[in-house]
Amino acid sequence: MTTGTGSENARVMWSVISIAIMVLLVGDTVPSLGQQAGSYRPRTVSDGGVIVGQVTFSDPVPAPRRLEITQDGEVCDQEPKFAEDLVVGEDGGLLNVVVWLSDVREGKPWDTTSPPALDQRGCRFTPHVLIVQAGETFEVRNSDGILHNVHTRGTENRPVNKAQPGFLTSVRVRLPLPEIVHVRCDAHDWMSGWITVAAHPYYAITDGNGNFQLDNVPPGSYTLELWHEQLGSQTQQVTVTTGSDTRVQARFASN
Amino acid sequence: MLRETGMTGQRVPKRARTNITLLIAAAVLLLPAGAAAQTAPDGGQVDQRDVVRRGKRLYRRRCVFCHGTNGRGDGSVSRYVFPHPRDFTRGIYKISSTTTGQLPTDEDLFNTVTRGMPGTTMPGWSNFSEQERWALVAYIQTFSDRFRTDEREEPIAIGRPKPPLPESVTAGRRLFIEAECWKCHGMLGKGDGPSAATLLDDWDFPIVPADLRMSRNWRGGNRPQDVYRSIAVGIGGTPMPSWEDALTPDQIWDLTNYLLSIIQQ
Repeated sequence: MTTGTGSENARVMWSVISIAIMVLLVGDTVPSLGQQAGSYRPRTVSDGGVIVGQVTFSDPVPAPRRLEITQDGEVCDQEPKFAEDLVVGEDGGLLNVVVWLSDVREGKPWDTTSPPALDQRGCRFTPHVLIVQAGETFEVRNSDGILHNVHTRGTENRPVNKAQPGFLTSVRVRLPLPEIVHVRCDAHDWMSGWITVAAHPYYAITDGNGNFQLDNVPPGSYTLELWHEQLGSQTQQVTVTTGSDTRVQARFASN
Repeated sequence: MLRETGMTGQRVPKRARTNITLLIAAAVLLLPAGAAAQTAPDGGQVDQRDVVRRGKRLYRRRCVFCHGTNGRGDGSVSRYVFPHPRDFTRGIYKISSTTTGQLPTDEDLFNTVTRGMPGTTMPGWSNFSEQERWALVAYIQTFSDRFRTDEREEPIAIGRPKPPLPESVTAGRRLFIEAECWKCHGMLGKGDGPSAATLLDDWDFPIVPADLRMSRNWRGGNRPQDVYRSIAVGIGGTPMPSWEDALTPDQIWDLTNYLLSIIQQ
């Protein structure tokens, strides 16, 4: 490309302006980068407290929705299957709510004694909601002996789609960025699960009674975030003090 | 509180930042005096802007009707088009030579612009000059931050094709059945397997598996190395998964040879 001296000068001007703007932008974003997932600092927590809570569903509970099993019946249709996107216990406790501290900067180290694994079993994702550590590879199992695939759909993480034929009982997946990612098996369109890619160890999933617990939390004030796949998300402020339980009650309703 | 945690080590005081800015700006201002005869220090970047601008002009003339002004796949004719035109804003492309979950290479995008997407309404643009096609590649990358933020990976290794001897074709046919490729593509490769009717792409648009008898419709091309790549890394943003972890390179070549053997046209 040929350019005259005039446009050469213009180019130089633009270079200066663009570099100056870039420097300004980068300079301003440096501190906020520190707030990203990578900034969690593990340390020994000796003065921690516990957050215990229950999440309930306040509306009338809809009847369980039976899933239509359209193929591989001998493996997938051993027993009736119901949608797991809204499961409420007898006392109104809401199952499978992800609960986490969204602004914790340091605290207990990751517990590596039982690595998380997702299982494709009976043509369901088990557990329905899994917690994994951002950037760590985790295992996806196939206990069914038939073709599944593991297809993640996030907004932060790029999609991963790996075939898992019956003879491949284990495959490794890695999701680098914290977010809650939908996981599907395209071969069986009713299969649906969620992978919580966690930035730190203070994440929990509510059990069948809607109960959850976060332990060894350093004393301080935090934002507690709660997310449910159908009912959306909400936050609460919590204050943790050394050696005591902080009780939390949260309620979700239909949108 | 945070200032005491020791996490603020990276925090640059505002005044220091301004000083650094001034220093760099000054350095850049002074540089051209010494370097004018050579390439301008930032010349590459300015050139790149011209390239992007050129790509934008072409895009607005030719691509916008399907892929939309902002690359969201929502152009004026998009709803009459099947499969749905690709949304470029997430940086997810059907044809990539990189491992599943990675961005495609620039060459991948260039090849798709050149060859089009067989079996869809996306034509090849080989009537554009090479420069024009590279300009389009540069422009469509501006629709997704991923091309600026994510690390770019090298393509997977694709060795030499395995000769399509009968034993390789037979082994490939066995794999087609055992690995259950037929679940989507059908026993005869017609695209009518039991899962075919319920398939959705990553945007929840319905999508159909390729009819493997029609090699001219194979999205990623029908040369042996194209077929190998489509099996190994999958078709991005669609239900076609990567088989890299499930099959050995030798097995992927067998499968390739089998698929090439069932072509009818």
